[in-house]
Amino acid sequence: MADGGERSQDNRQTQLKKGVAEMALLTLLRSRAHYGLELLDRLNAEAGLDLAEGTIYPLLHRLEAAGLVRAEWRTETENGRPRKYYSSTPKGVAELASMIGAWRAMRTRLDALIDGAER
Amino acid sequence: MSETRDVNLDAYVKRLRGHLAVLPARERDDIAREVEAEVRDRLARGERLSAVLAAMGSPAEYAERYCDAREVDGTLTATTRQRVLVVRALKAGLLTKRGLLVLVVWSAACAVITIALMRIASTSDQLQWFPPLLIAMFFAWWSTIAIIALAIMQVVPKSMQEQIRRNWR
Repeated sequence: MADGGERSQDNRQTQLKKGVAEMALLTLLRSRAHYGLELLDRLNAEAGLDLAEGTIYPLLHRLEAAGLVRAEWRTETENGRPRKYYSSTPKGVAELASMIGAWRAMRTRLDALIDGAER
Repeated sequence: MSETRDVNLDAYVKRLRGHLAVLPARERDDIAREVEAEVRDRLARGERLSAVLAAMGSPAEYAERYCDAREVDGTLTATTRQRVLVVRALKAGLLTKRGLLVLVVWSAACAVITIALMRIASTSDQLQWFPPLLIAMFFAWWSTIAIIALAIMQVVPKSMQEQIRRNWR
């Protein structure tokens, strides 16, 4: 029973993290191009999102299909291996600004709600 | 060792491509290439192939996330996905040596049973052959559908099976 409760809590947290992953991804891509594994490392280490490959790559492809990011294959000079680099498009930058605005507004209201309920 | 790694990775990517059949060929190639690049990057970091592939999940699960993502943005409809999956399932399940053998044996058995019933009927009263023949045809028809359904179940992911069942109700 306790295991079931923990699993359910884990699932909720996973869904929450997936929900903000798109915004975090676009934030990283706004400054410079990244390849998938590099993005995954940064999202997990800096944003604590704890995402897996199975989450980030489909998301990147979806954002690419939506025109929010562009991708190109580059061959690394250090090891000769090809890597797919993603960067933000102007549409992606505009979408990110809108997302951040919505996120901040929602966060402020949610914080107020939570603080009010805790008093 | 390197050869074993390549064989395992190649097998994973080949199965993944099969499960991505609902997506355009160019996108499938791109995803497969990206998975290979990612795995080779991780191997270069010293991670074990078995651990890397385990973390990615089965090729079916991995492919499903791409398809789910495309359904979310509306570029891939559930109907298209189901249609392609069913065709692929039929190809994978029936267009194999074993699948064809089962179908051929079954068709021959149905033909033999039908001819035998007709012969028995022709030697007795003229009208008596009709009900057993109908039953035989009915049985042959539904069992063929059952074989096809079993073939589909072997290939289509479980979550998709649920969705297909819901749509059929």
